[in-house]
Amino acid sequence: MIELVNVKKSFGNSEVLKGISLRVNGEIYGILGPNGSGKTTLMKIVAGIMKPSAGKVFVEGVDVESDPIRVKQIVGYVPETPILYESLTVSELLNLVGKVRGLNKEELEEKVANFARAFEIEDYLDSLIATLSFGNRQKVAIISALLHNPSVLILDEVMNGLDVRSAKILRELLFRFRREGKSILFSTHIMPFAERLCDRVGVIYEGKIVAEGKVGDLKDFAKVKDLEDVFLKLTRGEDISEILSALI
Amino acid sequence: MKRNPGISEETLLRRIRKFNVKNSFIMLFSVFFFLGILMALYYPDTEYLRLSITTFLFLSSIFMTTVSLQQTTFAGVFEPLKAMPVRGVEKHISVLFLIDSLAVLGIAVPPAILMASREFPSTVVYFLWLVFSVLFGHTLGMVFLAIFGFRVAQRSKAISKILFGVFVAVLILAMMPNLLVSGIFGEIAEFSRKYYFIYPFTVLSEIRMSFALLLIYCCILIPLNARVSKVGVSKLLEPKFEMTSKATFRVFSGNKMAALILKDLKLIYRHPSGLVGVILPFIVIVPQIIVLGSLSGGNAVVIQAISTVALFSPIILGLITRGEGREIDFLKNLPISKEDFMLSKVLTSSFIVCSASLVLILIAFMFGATPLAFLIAVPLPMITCLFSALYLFDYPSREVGIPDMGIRRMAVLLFMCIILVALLLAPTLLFANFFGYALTFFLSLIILAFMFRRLRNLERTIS
Repeated sequence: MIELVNVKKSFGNSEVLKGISLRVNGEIYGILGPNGSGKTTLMKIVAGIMKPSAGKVFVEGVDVESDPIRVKQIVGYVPETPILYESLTVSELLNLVGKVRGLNKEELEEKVANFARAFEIEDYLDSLIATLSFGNRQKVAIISALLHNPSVLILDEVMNGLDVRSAKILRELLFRFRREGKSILFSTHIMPFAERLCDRVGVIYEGKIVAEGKVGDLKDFAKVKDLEDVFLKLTRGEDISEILSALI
Repeated sequence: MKRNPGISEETLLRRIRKFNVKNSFIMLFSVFFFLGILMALYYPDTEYLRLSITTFLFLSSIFMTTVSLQQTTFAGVFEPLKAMPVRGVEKHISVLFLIDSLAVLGIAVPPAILMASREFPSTVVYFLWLVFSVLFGHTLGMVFLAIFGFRVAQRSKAISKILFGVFVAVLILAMMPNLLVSGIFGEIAEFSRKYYFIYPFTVLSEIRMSFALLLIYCCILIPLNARVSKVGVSKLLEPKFEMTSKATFRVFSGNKMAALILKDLKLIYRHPSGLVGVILPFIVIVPQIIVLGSLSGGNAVVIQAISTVALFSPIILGLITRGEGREIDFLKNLPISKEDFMLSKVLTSSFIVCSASLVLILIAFMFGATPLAFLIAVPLPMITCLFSALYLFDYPSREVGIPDMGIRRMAVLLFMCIILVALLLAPTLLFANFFGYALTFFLSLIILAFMFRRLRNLERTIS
């Protein structure tokens, strides 16, 4: 379970998160928001990589601020931009992750073989990360986050760069994880993904959650037919057709 | 610039903002200048010094060109250039790396000043030969890239082989002239007089002949460099990836700490600056041991070798820690504590510095130094590594991070290491017998135990 209680984060004078509270328990929770709304900052705080300026974050009952190492053992985190060791090969990187996460030889071998086959990166295991395409890097980052079978997943724009097959495999995996009772915090810009994947969504705008609930409930509330319109109505409220006609 | 939560390292951000090619050149030049002072102090023979420096510059230039250019290309630094309407990109890149290689000239400046005070005109010609050496090394590096560069783009193992080849060649070639020249300098001098027209012996020929030869060599080399650079760089910019057959995943046997150390060693091996840092102690110290060993063969050689290696610890530790760069964000996702991170850096740097120390003591032993030196060859460099880590990582946060390693802070650290090493070596210097070495050994063990305890208790101290 992930629980955030009145989380705030400031960088200098600018307050990026203005008191976020939410709870994710055995479900896929989508965080939606425009660029710069604070999604990545929120994800980093939950993953124990960044400290909040105020408020509390608990992951499976563990206070992230007081025991970030324990939280990192529990969590699988895929950042928005996969920052990986460019000078290591895929094999070397996954070996490092497996060893740090305490996986034994057989377990690590089996998991890497299965994930590499699933995401079609078997041919790249001996390649340097620096030579991989963005999509393949993203796959390596996803495998790194899933190797230790985490009970909590924090996925920041995880579908970026994935091909159709890999995106489908990941989606099915996430559904399976949900059935197993894992909690998944998922941020995205792509509304159809969120609509298909998430049990509940929270729309974050200017550092606050402006709406939260099941996708269907939000659509009913906003009296629109899809999530994209809900999102636009809650975050901008502008008429897109007017903007387009000014452009073309 | 908007604050980007994707980059959490504020210090790194500052460094990126402040990064300047000119400053980086000055920094590298200063390091080599310092090494040049050491060379000028330890080599009394001018001819020997001239030949050594010429060879060193030539080899360093090959090394810097091949390794830097390959690594920078793999990192995708030149990718944006491809999309821009700029002509002669290859030439610009080649010149940029030539300028980078010229920083090694810093090593030649102190000895050249010393020589110029005696014979000014010949020193000027000699200095031109040194510039030529860098250009020659750069050209050969480009030839090397033109032939092999495009074939090694995809596979890390192929890159490793090439890098390993370059590493071993540079190491052996850098040491060979020193060994030969110091051991049988008379015969080398005779050989060089006979084949005065062959580079690098050209630097020892008579001034007018030397200058004429320089002009002839330049007439061949400059057009060759222009041609080869274009081919070399273009092959790197448009690499033909070798797709491999299905690779198999092999699990490395070892624990978490071993995995972190292995990762650090691989990063050093595949990063030019890291490799240069590791090679430097050997290049600087081996000739000194040989010269001093042949002169005295006593205690002084051992003490000088160990103390110099120990003083390289902060630099090596700094290189290894800096080597993480922005990629440290990946480690932050993993359950690694600050003390685990520090310990991995201490063990990696100790592994390098202690290996260097043992090799050097072995060489010193071959030149007549006491075998007792092996007693202190490992603990002393380990102490400086551990001390450097405790000093540098003394920030209040419990998070894994890259500490402040500015010039001022590093200078203070180096000064403290000098005092520490001097204090620990005092019994050896005073008694110069078994008792002295044993005392230093036991003192070192006590300090090591104390420092390791402090490192293990770091978590509690911060809490």
